[in-house]
Amino acid sequence: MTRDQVEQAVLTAIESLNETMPTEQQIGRTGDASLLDLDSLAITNLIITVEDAVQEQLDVTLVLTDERTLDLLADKDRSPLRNVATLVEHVLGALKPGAE
Amino acid sequence: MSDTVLMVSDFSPNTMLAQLERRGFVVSAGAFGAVEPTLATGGADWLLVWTTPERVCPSFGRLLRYEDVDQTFLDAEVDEFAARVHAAPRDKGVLVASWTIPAVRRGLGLIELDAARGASGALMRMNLRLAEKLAEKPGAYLLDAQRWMALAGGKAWQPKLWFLNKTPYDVKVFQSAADDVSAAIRGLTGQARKLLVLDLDNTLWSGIVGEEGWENLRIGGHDPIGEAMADFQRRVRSLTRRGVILAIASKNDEAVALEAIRKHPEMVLTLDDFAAWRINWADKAANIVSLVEELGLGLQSVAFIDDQQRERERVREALPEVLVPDWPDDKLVYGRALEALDCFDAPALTDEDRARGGMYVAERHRQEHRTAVASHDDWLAGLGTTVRVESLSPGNLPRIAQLLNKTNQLNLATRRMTEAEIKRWASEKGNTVLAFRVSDRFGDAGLCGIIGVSIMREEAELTDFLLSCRVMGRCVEETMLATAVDVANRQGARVLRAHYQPTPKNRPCLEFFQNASGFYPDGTCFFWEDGVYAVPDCVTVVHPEQ
Repeated sequence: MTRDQVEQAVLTAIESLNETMPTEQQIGRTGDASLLDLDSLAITNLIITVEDAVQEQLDVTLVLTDERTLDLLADKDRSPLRNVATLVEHVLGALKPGAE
Repeated sequence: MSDTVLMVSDFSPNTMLAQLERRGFVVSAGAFGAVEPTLATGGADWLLVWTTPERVCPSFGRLLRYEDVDQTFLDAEVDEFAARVHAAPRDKGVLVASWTIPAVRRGLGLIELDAARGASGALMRMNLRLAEKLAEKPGAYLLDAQRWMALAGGKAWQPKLWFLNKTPYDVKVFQSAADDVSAAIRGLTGQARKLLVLDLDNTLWSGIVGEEGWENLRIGGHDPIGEAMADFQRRVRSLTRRGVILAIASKNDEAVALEAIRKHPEMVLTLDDFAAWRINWADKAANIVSLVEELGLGLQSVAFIDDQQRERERVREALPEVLVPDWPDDKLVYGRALEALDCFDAPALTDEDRARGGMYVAERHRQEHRTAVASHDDWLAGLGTTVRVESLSPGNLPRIAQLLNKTNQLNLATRRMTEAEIKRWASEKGNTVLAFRVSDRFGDAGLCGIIGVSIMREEAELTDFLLSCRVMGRCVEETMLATAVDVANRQGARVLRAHYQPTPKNRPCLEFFQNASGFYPDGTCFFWEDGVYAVPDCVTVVHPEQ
């Protein structure tokens, strides 16, 4: 699959999540849109929604609730949820064949 | 001011609270997992109680682990939970989500629905028992959480979210739940829609009657579209048994459209299903205004269905109080779209509700008779009006509460009380509540009027005087005053005082007391001191309890 396809799936997930959030907390749809201000509920909802969107659009199983990702989420400097672009990168990495 | 909702749950409430906030509520929640303490403290307009069954019924948890459980333990735990719900302090009501377990759980398989052994069977029984226990006292209502799960499909249960943030369900479950909570609160606060206005062409039938003739309209028959239209008409008609009134707003030649309704052999709805119609070439928004004026309703009571998007947008723009749902293009799903509407939800279904549509049709016949009669007095005499006077009883309390809380125009004091508050007031020394059922040769209007009289030695106060606008101007008002005066006289009071308390909507009541009541005015108070107040000649009064 291509980067564009993955990005599209992530943006679909963001759009879906935004429908449930107050206007002032909604996530932007550009690569540099920050995810740092999301609370823990929004973060967990986002990663589950991204998993679902990737499954539906790309027909592949993505796991973002593995130990490695959850540990990374706790590290602000290395978190895949610094912004939308870093999230897309992380998903691409997780989908690579042989990725743990 | 927005209503406050306090959520009581054994899971993270945040997603649900966010959904309720989006729907305009001010929300809060108890401490995580503190179900019983939060119920005991209460303290909002509404409580929303949503727990897993095993949290509040520990024996159910044992059943989930395939242990043997005596049903009496489950019953006792359900009863105790219901008692806590009833005792929880709140201003307006408690909404309780029915209990669910994950659909993916197979349990005992073939014998899972055996209530004595399987958790699913036991849960069905527990939910039914909970519904019965909650219904024993006013103010607590059970919502169908299983429906929310079903609407969310296979993703309803979210074990991953549970372990991540203690949210057990997908956001779609919470969206459906919040929709139902909003609909419930609208219904409980008298905001349910009462009038459904429908278009005709390509809404109630497939085709355009003015171009194709009634014979070529597709209704019923061996035709998927026709079958779908007949099915839709049946569902529309079934709404009348929930107290919804039907009307038509159609751009057509009236004679042509009425001929179609009368003559098409597969037509399910008849003219007697409709309280009124405006079938002409005028603007539909103007026609809807004319309809609500004729029927004595407000625009906030109306829902409007039309297949044409431009008509829907026109009415939405001109009449923002009217609910105009989006409508599918596909006629095969009209029935589903109608079933999905939550705007008619109401907390009770009384005999009056079921008969309401018929009452409006009877009123239409009554007015047709009026145009055929020479004078107003002759018309009144010809109606043969009978008024039955009833004391407050468990049988009429729900309808009395409904009338007390939604009548605006002919309402002297506009007191709003819950059933419990009415019952308490009526039980106090010197207080009387009487209800009035009105019928005539055209039909039965049901319980339409209420008086409250409070006696203190030689003085009587008319604390409540209200009458449904559908029977205004037929001498029922005077009959109610005669009864109030009679109550006062029998208990030794020499004067009956009616204190008019103005609201934006009850000027008709002031005008009645000023112009027609015979009471003498002193500011906003009206007095009767002249002994017997005569019942009008055109009314027969019946006291079935005497």
